Amino acid sequence: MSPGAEAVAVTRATVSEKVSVPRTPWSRLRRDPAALVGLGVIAGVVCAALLAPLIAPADPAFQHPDGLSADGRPLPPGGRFLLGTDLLGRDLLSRLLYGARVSLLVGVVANGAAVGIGTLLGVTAGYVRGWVGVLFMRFLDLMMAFPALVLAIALAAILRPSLWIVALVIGLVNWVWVGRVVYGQTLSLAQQEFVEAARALGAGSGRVLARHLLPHLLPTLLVWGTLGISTTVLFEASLSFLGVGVRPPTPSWGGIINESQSYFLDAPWLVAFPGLAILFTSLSFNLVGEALRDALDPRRGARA
Amino acid sequence: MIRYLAGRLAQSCVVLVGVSLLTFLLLYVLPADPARMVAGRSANPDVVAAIRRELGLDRPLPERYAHYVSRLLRGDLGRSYVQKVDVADLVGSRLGATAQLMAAGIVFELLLGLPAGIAAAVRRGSAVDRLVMVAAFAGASAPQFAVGLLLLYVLSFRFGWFPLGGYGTWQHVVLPAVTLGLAGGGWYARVMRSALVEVLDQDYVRTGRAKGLTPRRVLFRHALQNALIPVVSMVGLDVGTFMGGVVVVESVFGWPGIGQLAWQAIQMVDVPVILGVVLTSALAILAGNLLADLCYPFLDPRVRYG
Repeated sequence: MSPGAEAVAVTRATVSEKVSVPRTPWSRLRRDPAALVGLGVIAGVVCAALLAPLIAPADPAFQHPDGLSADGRPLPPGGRFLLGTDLLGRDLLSRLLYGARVSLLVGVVANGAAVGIGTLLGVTAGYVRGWVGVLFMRFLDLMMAFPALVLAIALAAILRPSLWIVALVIGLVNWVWVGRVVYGQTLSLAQQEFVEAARALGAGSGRVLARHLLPHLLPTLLVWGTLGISTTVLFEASLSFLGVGVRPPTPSWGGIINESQSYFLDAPWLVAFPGLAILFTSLSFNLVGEALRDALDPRRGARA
Repeated sequence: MIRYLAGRLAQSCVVLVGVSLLTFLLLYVLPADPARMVAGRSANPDVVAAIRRELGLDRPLPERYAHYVSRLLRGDLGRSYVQKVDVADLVGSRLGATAQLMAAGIVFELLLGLPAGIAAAVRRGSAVDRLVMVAAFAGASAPQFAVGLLLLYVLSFRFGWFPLGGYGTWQHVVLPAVTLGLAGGGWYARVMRSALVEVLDQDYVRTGRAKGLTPRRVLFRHALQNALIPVVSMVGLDVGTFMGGVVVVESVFGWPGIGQLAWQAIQMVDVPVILGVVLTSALAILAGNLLADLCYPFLDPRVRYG
């Protein structure tokens, strides 16, 4: 075979489906087994949250008369109560399924708030620059010097929160990272020629921001919109564990562990199962977010 | 270098002023009335009014802020509503335990993260690499309170290897440090991996291999020395990431540090203590960040700050 023919063969091979580097983000994502598992888990948690009333074996608040042993201890996993019961004889599996609602709702809303605040402030500061940019950077330093969890605990403890306030508090202390990334990207985007061209054509600031800058920021926002949920789910669980998150009658994963804390040596399943639920949910958003980051960044798409 | 240092210090001072302003505003907007908290629940209105005057709560806001800052500068963080002692003494008596916990946490996360990251980078793309990376994410996603409780259950209660919480000997510090450092270990594994992967692609590494050095010598003498610098210089930043975990971990293990202090103060709405801990942590975080920034050019001669 002549060298030319070989080159053609190589080119064909590259073009053919088998050896090509996947081009669309979705096809890259599909090749990442960790991301697929993560997507599966997220789908499962979403189903659990949506279908909790249908699939839960019992009412999560019902204290079963046969839910405690003869001497008043919670029942271990197995038997009639698949994952065992808690200190009041309530079915743990049902409480976990309903707990998925709190976890997801607070996680998604809190992260939405964080991404929203971070984008708004980051884009504005990055576009206006000058003293606004300087002020923004110092404000980021200030926020980062505050211990986020301590601040959130203090706020949540004093505000006696509802689910929405918990989500808002978490968003308020978590927007910093998004703000930082968005600010940096806006700063470099705003100096590109296409922005200059848009301005030369008479587009106002609002139009440049909405029509020309935001579309370029979408991949970043998508990545943080996923990745950040991993943090906010953990954050909500920590607040509920410390007793300043979602209030007790509503089952939440961190709250279940908080209620069982004094009894965990006798009933470790009351810590293990909610702990695993938190771990898998947070980990899945983490894996999918990282895979999205790789998939959406063309330079990192073909990494070894 | 001197100019960079001065600039960085000035920046930190600006942030400190912001921190004092924000904590002051928090104190002001919080619904708990300080005078009533000091006087106690059943005090009569005259006493409350007298205390309000004494604390200067009847003065205009800017004057109160000036007063607040001047007290802070003298190291006076106010008095606890509940325990009726100086907050500075209260925080001071707890700082040692937290510092000890953090130091142990840093040791653990480095011991866990660096070797894992090196193993992943050397066998890039292998099953080991993928396993380490998923484990690193799992470490970052694991809820610390559940990890701590389960470690207590298995290692202390079942096997009896460690005490069931408390403070004192080196055995007491192991499980809290592991719990605190798990997430950081995952983070260091990822940073170590990407730093080493980058260095391993450099020309001087290829040269080293080409001239016949053993892979071990190339890795440890040439590649690692350069890859470790950016990683190790980040240790100062851990103060910030640990500060939140400290509250959870100290509450799980009954560790008598400032996290536990903050937690107890929050339940009592003991606002001066809460803000004292927030201020102290902010100071520690700023110092850690400054340390990280200053370490970098010293450790890596290629970095020059103008």
